[in-house]
Amino acid sequence: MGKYGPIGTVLLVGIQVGFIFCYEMTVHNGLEDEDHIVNVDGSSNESHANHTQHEEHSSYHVVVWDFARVASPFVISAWILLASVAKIGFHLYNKLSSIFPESCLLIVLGVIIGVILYLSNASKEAYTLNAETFFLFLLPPIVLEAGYFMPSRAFFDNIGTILMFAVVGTLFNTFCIGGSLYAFSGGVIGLMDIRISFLHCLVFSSLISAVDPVAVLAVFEEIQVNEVLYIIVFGESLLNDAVTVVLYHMFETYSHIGEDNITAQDVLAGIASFCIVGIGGTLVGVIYGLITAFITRYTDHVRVIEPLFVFVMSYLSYLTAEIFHLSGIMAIVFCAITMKRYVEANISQKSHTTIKYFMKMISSVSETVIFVFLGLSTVVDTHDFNVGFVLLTLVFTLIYRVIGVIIQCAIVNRFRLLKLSKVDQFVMSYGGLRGAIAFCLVILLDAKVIPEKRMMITACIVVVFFTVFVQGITIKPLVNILKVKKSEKHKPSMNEQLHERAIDHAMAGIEDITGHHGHHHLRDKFENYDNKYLKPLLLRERPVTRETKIVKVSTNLSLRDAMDHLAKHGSFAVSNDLYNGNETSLAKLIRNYSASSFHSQQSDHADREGGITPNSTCIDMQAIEAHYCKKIADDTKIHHILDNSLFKPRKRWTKHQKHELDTENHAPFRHKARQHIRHMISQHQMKRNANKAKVNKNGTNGKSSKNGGVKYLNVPGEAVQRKPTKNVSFADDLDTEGKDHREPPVKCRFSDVTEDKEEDSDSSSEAGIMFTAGPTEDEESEPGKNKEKCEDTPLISEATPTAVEKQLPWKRNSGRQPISSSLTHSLPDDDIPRMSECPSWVDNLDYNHISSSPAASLNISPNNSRSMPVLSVVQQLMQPAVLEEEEDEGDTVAMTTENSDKDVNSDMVEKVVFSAGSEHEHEGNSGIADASKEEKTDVSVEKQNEVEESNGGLSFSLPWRRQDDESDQGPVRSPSASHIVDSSQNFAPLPSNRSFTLSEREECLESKHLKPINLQSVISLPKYNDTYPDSHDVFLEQSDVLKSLPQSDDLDPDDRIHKWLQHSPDDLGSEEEEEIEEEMKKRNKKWEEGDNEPLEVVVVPNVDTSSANNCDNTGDSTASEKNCIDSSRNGSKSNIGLKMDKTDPVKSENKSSSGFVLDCGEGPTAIIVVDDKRKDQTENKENDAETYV
Amino acid sequence: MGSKASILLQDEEVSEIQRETGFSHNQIVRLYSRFTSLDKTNNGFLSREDFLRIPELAINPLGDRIVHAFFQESNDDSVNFRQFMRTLARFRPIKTNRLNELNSRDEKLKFAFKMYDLDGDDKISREELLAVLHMMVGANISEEQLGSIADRTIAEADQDGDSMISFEEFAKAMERVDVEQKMSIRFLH
Repeated sequence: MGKYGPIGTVLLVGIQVGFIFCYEMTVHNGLEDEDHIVNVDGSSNESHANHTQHEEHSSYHVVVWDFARVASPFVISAWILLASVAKIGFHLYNKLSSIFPESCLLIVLGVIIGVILYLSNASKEAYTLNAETFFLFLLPPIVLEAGYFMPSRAFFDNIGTILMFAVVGTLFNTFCIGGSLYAFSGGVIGLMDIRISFLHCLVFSSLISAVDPVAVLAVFEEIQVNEVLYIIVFGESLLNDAVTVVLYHMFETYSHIGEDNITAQDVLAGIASFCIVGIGGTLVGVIYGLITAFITRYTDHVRVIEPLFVFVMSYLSYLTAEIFHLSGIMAIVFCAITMKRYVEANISQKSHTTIKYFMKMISSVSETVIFVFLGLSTVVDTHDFNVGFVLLTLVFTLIYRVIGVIIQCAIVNRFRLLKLSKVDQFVMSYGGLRGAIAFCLVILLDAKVIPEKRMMITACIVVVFFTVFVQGITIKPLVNILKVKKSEKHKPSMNEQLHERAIDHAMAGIEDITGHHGHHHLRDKFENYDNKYLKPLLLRERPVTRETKIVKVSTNLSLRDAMDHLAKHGSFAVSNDLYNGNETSLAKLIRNYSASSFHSQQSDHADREGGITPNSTCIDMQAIEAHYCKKIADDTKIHHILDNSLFKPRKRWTKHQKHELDTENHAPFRHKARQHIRHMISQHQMKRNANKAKVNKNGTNGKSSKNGGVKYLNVPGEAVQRKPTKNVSFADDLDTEGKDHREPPVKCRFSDVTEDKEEDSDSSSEAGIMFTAGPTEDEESEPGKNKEKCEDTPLISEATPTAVEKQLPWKRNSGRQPISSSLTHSLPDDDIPRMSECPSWVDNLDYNHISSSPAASLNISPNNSRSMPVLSVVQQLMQPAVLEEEEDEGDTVAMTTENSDKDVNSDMVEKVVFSAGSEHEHEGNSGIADASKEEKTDVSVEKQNEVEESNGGLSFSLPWRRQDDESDQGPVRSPSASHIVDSSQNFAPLPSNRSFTLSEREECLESKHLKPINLQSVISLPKYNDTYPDSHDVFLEQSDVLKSLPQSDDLDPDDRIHKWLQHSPDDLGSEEEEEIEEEMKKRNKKWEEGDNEPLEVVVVPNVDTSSANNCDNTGDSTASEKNCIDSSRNGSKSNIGLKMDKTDPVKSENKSSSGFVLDCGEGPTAIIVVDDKRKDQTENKENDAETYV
Repeated sequence: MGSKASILLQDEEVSEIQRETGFSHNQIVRLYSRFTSLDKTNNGFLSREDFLRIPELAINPLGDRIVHAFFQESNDDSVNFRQFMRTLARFRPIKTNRLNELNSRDEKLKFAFKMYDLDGDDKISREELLAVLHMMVGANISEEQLGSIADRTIAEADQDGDSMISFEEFAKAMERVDVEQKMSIRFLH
C-alpha cells in the first residue's frame, strides 16, 4: 500500500485538481450568466461570458447542463473530498507524514493547487479563504472538538497559568510587537521605507500575536507532550481569543475613528470590553451548556436526535457570542466543557459514540480545509513583499514570544506547585504557532482604513508559514532531544483511580485544616454544589454516588476482562445467561454449565446411537472430568466477573420485604459481616492448607488429584471388563438394560434423609437443610392423603444386586464407609473404596446457595429453623416422593450421600436428590431458555388450576407427582410419562458424580439437545470449621442417627437405614403426625391469608461436618482437602446464583409448584439437601442469589 | 496558660520547626495563627473535636482519616503545634534543590497509604479498603459492587499474593501518578 500510496495520491489529487479546476471555471462563468443551459451536443459549451442567452429555447433538451444550480454545494463537497483524499494519501506514505506535520503537507498541497489555479486564471474569489466562511463554519467545529475533549481537570488545575498567558501574554505581545514595529518603521529608526501609524501597527500586532488553536492542536497532537504543557499552550490559544477579539476590534475601531479622535472614554471602553468579551463569552457558553444538559435530560425517547443537541447548541452559543462580538471561541469551549459533564450521563452510549466520532470528523475536515485554503490563499498576485516589514514582524513575533514566556513563567512559577522548567518554557515559546485565525483577521481588514493591508497579509502569511513549517517540523525532534516528559496515555488502573480520589479528598481536607483555600478546596466545594443542586436538575438519573468515576473505571476494567475472556475463549453465552438470568434455575444452570463441555461427548454418542458401534462406548470419565472442570472454571470465572462487577442497582426486592424480617440487622442475617468474616477465614484456611499440602507432598496421602484420578478410573474399569460398557456410559437404553439397574438404595437414601430429619428434630439440636414446597393446595398431596398413598404404594422388595451393582464402587459391600469420590484420591491404589454417590461438590459449603434463595433465608429464623414441625414437613414430603419414585420413576434419580463417618473423612451428611423432571423440549440447544419458559407458563397454569380446585392442602408437586395428578397433561408430558412407565424399575445407581449425568443422558436421548450435567465441577470449597466450634458436637449427634438405628453388625449403614426406613412410617409417632398436620394447616392458612411469606424453600442448616477439622488431625484427608481447595479456587469464583422469587405468593407459587425446590418445570430438578450447619454460608450466598432477583 | 498571649510562639521553637520541616518563618507564624484559631480550648493542643469543628472537614468523606493522620505523631489524643507542623510538612511542594525527608514522595505516599490503613498494621486488607470505599462512595452502591472494586484493587496491586496491599505495593501501583504534584499544596508565604 505504502508503495502505491504516493502514486495513488498524486493521481487522485490530480484528478481532483482537474475536477475542481473545471468546476471553478464553470462556477466562475455560471455566476456571471445564470440559467446557463448547455446543449447535448456541447455546442454551447463556450466559456465566454459575453455570449449571452442563446437562442435555442424552442426544442426540448434531452440532457441539460445546469451546474450553476448546484455549484456552491458541489464545490464545497469537492473541496472537502480533495482535502480528505489528500489526507489519506499523506498517511499512506508514511515517510512523508513522519517528518512533516500534516498541517505542513496540507498547506503545500494548497499552494500547489493554488499555483495551478492561478496559472489557469481562475477567479481568485473562488478559492481564497473567505474570512466569513472561516469564522462561521470552519472554526467552530475545531474549537468545539477541542473544548469537548479537553482534559477539564488539567485545564482547571492550570487555569491560573493559562489565563496569565492568554491575557497578559497576548497583551504583552501585542503591545511589544506593535510598539517595536512602529519604532522600526520610521517612528524611531527608519529601517522600513514606509511609515506605519502606531495604531495600524497595533491592529496588526493584535492579530499576529495570538497563538492559534488550530495550528497548536495540529502540532501538539503529534508531539504528545505531557498534559500540563499541552494544556497550558492549548488553553492559552483558546482563551487568548477573547483578548484578540477585543484588541482587534478595539484597534480597528480606533483606526476608523482616527488616531486623533480617540478619547479617554474610548480607551476606557476598550478596557471594559475586555472583561465583557471574556466573561460574556464564558457566560454564554456556560448557559448554553446547561440548557443542553437540561434538554438531554428528556431525550430518552428520541435517542436519535441526542447528538444533534450537542452540536446545535454549541454552535448556537458560538453564534450568539459572535452576535455581541463576544468571544465565540470561549463561548463554544465553555459550552462544551459544561455540557460534557452532564450530557454524557444523560445520553445513550450510542449517542455518545456518535457525538465523539462526528465531532472528530468535522473538526478534522475543517482543519484540513483550513490548511488547504491557507495554502491556496497565498497564491495571489496582490502580495506586497516588504522585506523589512516582513522580517521585522517575524523576528519580533519570535523574540517577544520567548521573552513573554520567560517573564510570565518567572511570575507564574512563584505560585505554581509544579514549576515550569526551562525545557517547558522552551516548548511553550516554540509551540506558539500562528495560524489561520490571524490570516483571516488580516484579510478582514479594511484596505481603505489601513492602506498597508497587502503588506500585512504578506507578513502574516510569512509568519504563519514560518511557525507552521519551521517550528512545526522541528518541534518534534527538539522535544525528543530535550526529553520533554511525554504524555503517557493509559487507562487508569483501579488503584490509581481510587487512590487519586482518596488523595483529592485528603488534600481538600488538608487545605481546610490549614485554612488555605486552594484549588482543592474550590474543587471540593464545586463538587458538593454540583452534587447537591446541578446534578439533580440536569441529570435524568441522579447518580447514586459521588464517585461515579470509580465505579465506571471498575466497570470498564471488568468489561475489558470480559472482552479479553471472550477473545480468548470465544464465548460466554453461559455467563450472559446467568447475568441476565431472571429465569436461572439450578437445572438450567447445570445444563448450561455442562452443555458445551459435553457437547462433543454427546455427538459422539449420537453417532453410536446411529448404529455404528453401539457397544463400544467406554468413556474415560476422568478425562471428561478434567475437561469440563477447566471449562467450567472458565465459565464460572467469567460469570463471576460479570456478575459482581457490572454496575448493579440496589437489590430490587427489598421493597417486598418491608413488612417482613429486617434481614439486614436480624442476628442470623448479617450477610455482609459474615461474608467478610468468611472471606478472611477462607484466606487463612487456604494458606494453611497450602502449607499442609506442601508438607505432605511426598507422603502417600499427598497424591495429586491427577493420580487420584487414575485410581478412580481403575474402578469403573473393572466393571467395564465384566459387563458391556453400556452400564458405564450414559448411552444405556433403559428399556433393555433397565433390569440391571434395580435400585433399592434409592429408597434407602431417601429414608435416610427422612430419618436424619427426624433425628434432628428429636434432638432439636440443629436443623438440616431441607426443602419444602409451597403449599400448593393439591388435595391429593395433602399430608394425610400423601401418607395414605404412600402406604398404598407397595414397597419394593429388595432385589438381589446384579453383578454390575456389585462391581460399582459405591455398591461394594466392603464394610467400609462410603466416601466421596474426591477422597478416593487419597487412598492407596489397591484399595477399593466404597464410593458415595454424592459428587464431591456437595461437600462444598459455598454451593449451598444453589439450594437457597433469598426467600429461603427469610424463612429461616433461629426459631423455626430448628422447629420440629418444619422438619416433619420435610419428612412428610420426602416420604411420598421416595415411594412414588420407587414406583414409577426412572426419570428421577435420587441420590443421597451419607458420609457420616464416625472417625475421619467426610462427616458431612449430604443428601442430594436429583430429580429429572419431565422433559419436553424439542428445540435446539439454543432453545432451552424458551422451552423452559414455555414449560414454566405451562406449569403455572397447571398450578393455578390446582389452586382453584383445592382447598389448601399441602402439595408437593414434584414433577413425577404431577404425572400422577394430571395424567391428562397430554403431549407436553408424554415423553417423560411414557418414559416413566417404561422404566419404572430402571433405576441405576451411578458413580457419584456421574449419576446425574446419566439421568440427564436419558433425557438427552429423548430430546436430543439436552446436555448432560456434571455437577462435580461446579464446585467445592474449603470448609470453615473454625467458625463453628460446636461442629464436633453436632457431628456426634449426626452419627447418633446411625447408632439409633436397629443395630445389626452385619449390615452396613445403608442397609440399616434402609431397613429402618421400611418401618419408619409406622414408627412415626401419632403425636408427631398431628403436629405435622397442624403445622401444615397453619402454613396453609397463612398462605391463604396472603401472608407474604413463601414456603417454597426452607433451608435449614444442620450439622457442620467439617472435614477441615479432620484435615487438621489426620493427614489422610489432606490430599482431598487440597483437591477440594484447588477446585474451590475456581469454584469459589463462580457465584452460581439462583433465581428464586421472594415476592408475591403467586409468583413463588409458580416456582414451588413447578418443582420441588427450584423451578424444575423445565426439566431436571435438582434438590440438594445439605445437612450442615452452614447456615451462614447459605445466607452469604444469598447475597449472590439476590442479584438475580 | 489560659490566654493566647501566654502561648505565643517562641523564637527557638520557630527555628526548630523551621529546621525540621522546611517551612519558612512566615509560614510557621501563619500556620500558628491557624493552629490557635482551631484550638478552641486554648491549651496548645488540638483534639479531634477541634479538627472536626472545621465545617468542610466534617463533610469530607475521608475527614476522619485525615484527622486521624494528625494523631499518628502523638501517642495521646492531642496534637501540639510541632506535630501539627510535621504532618503538614508532608504537603510542602518538593523542591529539587532542597530535599527534605518530610515532604518526599515516599512520605506523601505514606500519608495516602495511612488513609486506608485503619488498623495500623502497614497493610491494607480487603476489609480496610472496603471500609474506605464505603466512606468515599457512600451507601448507594451495592455491597457486591464495592466488594468487586476492592477485590480488583487488591488483585491489581498485590504482588506477593497475600491479598493485602503493603506500602511497597501501594507505591508501585501509584508510580505513574504524579504524587509530588497532587499531594502538595501551596502554603502562603
